[in-house]
Amino acid sequence: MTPEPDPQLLAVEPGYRNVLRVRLAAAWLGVTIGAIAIDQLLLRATPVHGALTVLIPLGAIISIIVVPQRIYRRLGYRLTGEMLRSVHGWTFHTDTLVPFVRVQHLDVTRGLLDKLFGTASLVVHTAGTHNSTVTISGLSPARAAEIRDVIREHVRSDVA
Amino acid sequence: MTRTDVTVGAAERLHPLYFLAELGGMLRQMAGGYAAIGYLAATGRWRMAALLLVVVSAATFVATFLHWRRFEYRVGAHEIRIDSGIVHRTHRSIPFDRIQDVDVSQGPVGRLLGIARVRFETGGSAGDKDDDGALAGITLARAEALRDLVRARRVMGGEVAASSASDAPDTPALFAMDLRRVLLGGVFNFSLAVIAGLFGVAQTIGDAAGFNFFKRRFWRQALEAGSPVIDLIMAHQVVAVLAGLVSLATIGLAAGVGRTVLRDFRFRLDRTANGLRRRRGLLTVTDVTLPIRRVQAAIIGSGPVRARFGWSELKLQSLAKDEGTRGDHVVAPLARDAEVASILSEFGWRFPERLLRGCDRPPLTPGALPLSEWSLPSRCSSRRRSSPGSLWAA
Repeated sequence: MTPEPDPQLLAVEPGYRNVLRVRLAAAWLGVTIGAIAIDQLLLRATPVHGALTVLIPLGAIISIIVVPQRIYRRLGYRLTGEMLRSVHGWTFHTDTLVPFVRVQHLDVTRGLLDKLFGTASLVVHTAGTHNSTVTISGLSPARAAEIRDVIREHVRSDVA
Repeated sequence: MTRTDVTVGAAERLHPLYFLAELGGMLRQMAGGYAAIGYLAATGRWRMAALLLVVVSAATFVATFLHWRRFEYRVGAHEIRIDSGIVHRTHRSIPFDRIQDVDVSQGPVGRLLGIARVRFETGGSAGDKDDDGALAGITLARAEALRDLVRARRVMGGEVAASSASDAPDTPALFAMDLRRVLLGGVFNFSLAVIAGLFGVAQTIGDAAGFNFFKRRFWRQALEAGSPVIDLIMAHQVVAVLAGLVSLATIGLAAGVGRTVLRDFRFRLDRTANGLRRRRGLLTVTDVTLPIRRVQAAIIGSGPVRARFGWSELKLQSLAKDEGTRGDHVVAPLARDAEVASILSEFGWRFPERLLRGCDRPPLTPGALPLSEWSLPSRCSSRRRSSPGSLWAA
């Protein structure tokens, strides 16, 4: 399946793929170590000995090469008149619309990986107790601050 | 795009001694470390225990210092910015228009040092951990200045153009509780949960620990031999059980009174320019302002015993959460109907006539009042009907 990039959506920073790669590698690391340990210690006498040691690292390497690019291609966001639109998801597709009027407060966060690869996340808090945050990851810090200021202006002009 | 008009004030830090006021919470966080130290000490490895103590203390100190060093807040023209995080940085922006209320609270240590904890409640809640902007410790004067600033900004936002002169201390309180009322409220808060817990403990480990209220042995140890009570208990198991029940009831009562006095001591509700201001607390004093425009609903509640004596509790529901886990803001823990009615009239709501259901009142049209309440038939006594009817007039 080929992605059909929506011309209206804006892409996030290419550096975000590296953030995804490192995260994915960290997630796979534990699984790989566990699989190798099981294979070497428990499955030594069985006919499938060696399969896990080969297949799991192979799967890890393939997914680290393939997955981030696909996730990245399907990430997008857009500011329309009074809405923030956030699209993400490779296998499970999510398209979120947040009216500016409903925004309560805004965070720009940067973790260690974000700093390494020059990205930042914008977290939009809306009113409500359930699913009340919308996160746009992989923005450049300047862009994140810019979007924050735009939304904040709208919050101000709305006399709630 | 619109970066040009972003005017943000100078960066401010927390009070250097803020961690003293937060000490209780920080000590709780290190509970695992203390357990390990205690274990080492108990098993005789004193040197390891001392080493671990030094390491844990040093780590706490360094972490606290770094947190303080990396925590900054700025007050801008239209927002408050909070930058926090040692490695994972968060730059939070809270527009004044979205601040539901500003809570100021002071623990016992904070009161000694003049440090207050400020929380900007916005109504968004992404998890209970740090959902909204909180400044752990700034001087009380600065906290009050901040609150006045937020309130003024909200007024400027085109809401209420009233003066804030009604904030003077000599204006009569909208609702206040003297010590007698607080104690009475404590009696009504008689804690069955504590009793149930103690009963369970007494039944399961009480025998081993030697404090089973329901056994004769406990009373033999607790009371000196020779008193008439001990002879009676020795004679009848029933009396021992009765004594046990009385003890549990006393403990439950003491727990209820103690908790209520700690929370509601010097309870005072004031009308401010555009909200209600509530102050209360014995050791931890909290100061909460709730903008009236943000009130979603009023809840008048009561209990079977309270209702019989004509008391009820008034809570207001807003987007913001009250301190602790409770969702609604208690604005009158124990009040007469007349007092509830006078508080409600502050924002132009009528005291709900539905409370007098079955007392030959005309039925209300549904949805006429933004109130949800529950009542008991006992409220319809003849005494209540003779209350002055003007209170419930529109």
